[in-house]
Amino acid sequence: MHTAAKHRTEVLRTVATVTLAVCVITGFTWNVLAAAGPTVSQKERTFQPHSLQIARGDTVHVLNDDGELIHHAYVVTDAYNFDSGEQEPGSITDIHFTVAGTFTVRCRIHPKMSLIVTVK
Amino acid sequence: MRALLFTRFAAAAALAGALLAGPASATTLYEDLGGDPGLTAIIGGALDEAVVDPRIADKFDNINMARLKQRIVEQVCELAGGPCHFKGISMKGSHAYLQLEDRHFNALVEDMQDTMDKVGIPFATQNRLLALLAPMRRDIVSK
Amino acid sequence: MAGKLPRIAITLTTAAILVAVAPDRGSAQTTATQPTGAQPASADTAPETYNNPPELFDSGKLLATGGVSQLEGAGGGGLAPWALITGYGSENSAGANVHYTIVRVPSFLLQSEGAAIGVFDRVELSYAREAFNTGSFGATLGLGKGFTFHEDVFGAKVRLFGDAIYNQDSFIPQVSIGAMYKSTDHADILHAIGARNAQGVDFYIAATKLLLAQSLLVNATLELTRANQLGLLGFGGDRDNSYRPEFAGSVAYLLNRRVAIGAEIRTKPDNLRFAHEQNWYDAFLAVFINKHVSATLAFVSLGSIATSTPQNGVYFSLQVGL
Repeated sequence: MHTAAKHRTEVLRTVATVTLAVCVITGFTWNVLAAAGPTVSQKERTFQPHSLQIARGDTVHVLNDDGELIHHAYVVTDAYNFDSGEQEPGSITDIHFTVAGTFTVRCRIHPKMSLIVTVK
Repeated sequence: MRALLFTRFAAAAALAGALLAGPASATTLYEDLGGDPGLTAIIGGALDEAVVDPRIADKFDNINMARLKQRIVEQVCELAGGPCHFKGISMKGSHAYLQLEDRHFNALVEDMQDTMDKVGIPFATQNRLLALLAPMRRDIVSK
Repeated sequence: MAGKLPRIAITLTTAAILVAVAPDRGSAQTTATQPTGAQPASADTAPETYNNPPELFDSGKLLATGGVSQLEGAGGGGLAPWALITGYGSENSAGANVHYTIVRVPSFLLQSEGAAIGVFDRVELSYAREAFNTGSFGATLGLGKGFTFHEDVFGAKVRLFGDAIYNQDSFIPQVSIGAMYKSTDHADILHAIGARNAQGVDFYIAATKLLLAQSLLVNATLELTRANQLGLLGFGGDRDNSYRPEFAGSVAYLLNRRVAIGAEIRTKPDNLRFAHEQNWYDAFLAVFINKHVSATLAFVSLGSIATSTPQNGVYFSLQVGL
């Protein structure tokens, strides 16, 4: 008599657990990506967009979307330094801005590329 | 009679080639080009000419020339039997956006020849280097 | 001969002017020098596109890679057509030139003048007008001293496959096929000496390769022909009338960017009873002054050409082009 009801409960429990897990994972991932910061593309030997504003602690994701070209992003200031090393085509480089100010991200290979990041 | 003549001619040509190629050289092409300082002078000089060569100057727009020189020296060093390791990059991928034609490739070859003349590399040695670089044309020229 | 002088004078004068005045389009013009490592001054915007407007005559090939003009007007060595396409036009362009060649051997004077064009480094068209002055030998033949045969040669060549210059990592040569339609005057005299026709077509296939690491260029040409002395004495004959495979070979050593020395051989059919035809040989020096002017000097050995003396002499050719 109990078997049918018990079975239904078990199924419901499994469904609920899986749904909850999926939500948590999705939410967590979403938060990791979305809250972290904007994405900038390296394309046609430029940064697109070429300027942006972020909050202190944000991360700018730099995507090399430039065919088979290699890029090499860097920032050199008294307050903050960053060097990406060679960025392979298709790679994403995270630049985590911990200091407020205005910073110019450049490319060691393509000197005309510049990305102005204003960190509030 | 004609077949014999053809065979003799082919043999003569092959012999000429073998004689001119010489015995296996005691020095590598890398050494014959002057090693690292020699290659630096050749590649540096060639690219300095290239950026003011009206036929190809605009191809070097938005390029870090110092870095380019360094990377090409590494590449040629390894190609010519020197002690370098060049991390290969795609010649095709890195040149595609420039839509280069044969006339651009040849312009750079001529700039290299001018520089090697200035540096005093013997013509035969120049040709040994160009023979190693020439096959890259198929990947570098896209139009 | 007198009628030729104005044309020769014009060609040589044009050449002289071009050599003197030529800004050498085909090489770098360093109008400014820059300190090492400096970037060219440019606006801080990337060029919109890299579309290069194609130039009609771009002088885009490397020096000497169009060969010179061979005796029948095609691009090649001195005696035989090569697989190279004449001129300095690169694959997206064209090149054109005119040539004047004179060959002086004891009994004869041979002159050739003409023009050729190479398109897309793929197709070549050429025309040459040959004048074969039989000198005092003409008198011996009962033709009169200085009797001259004239021949028109219309040539076409197509590059089939392979690359002579760049594919240095392959032994595959550049291969071209070609044909020459030839027409000689004085058909009655040609028939009298045993030739069957006053017109004919030669077919050839040529393979050329630059062995850059050895500074050597080699060429082999296989020709199907019935032409007597390149067609100057007609086509086919009373000894033999059919097409024969003939061979031509050239080897050139590059001394520097502008100078090459070499040797050639060209085998010939032997169709006429009245005189045997022999192989032709030459040893040459070719100087490429710039991409507009080249000059070739050679010693030639042309066999006896119906006389009893070996016809060894001098060959000089001038090519002037865009």
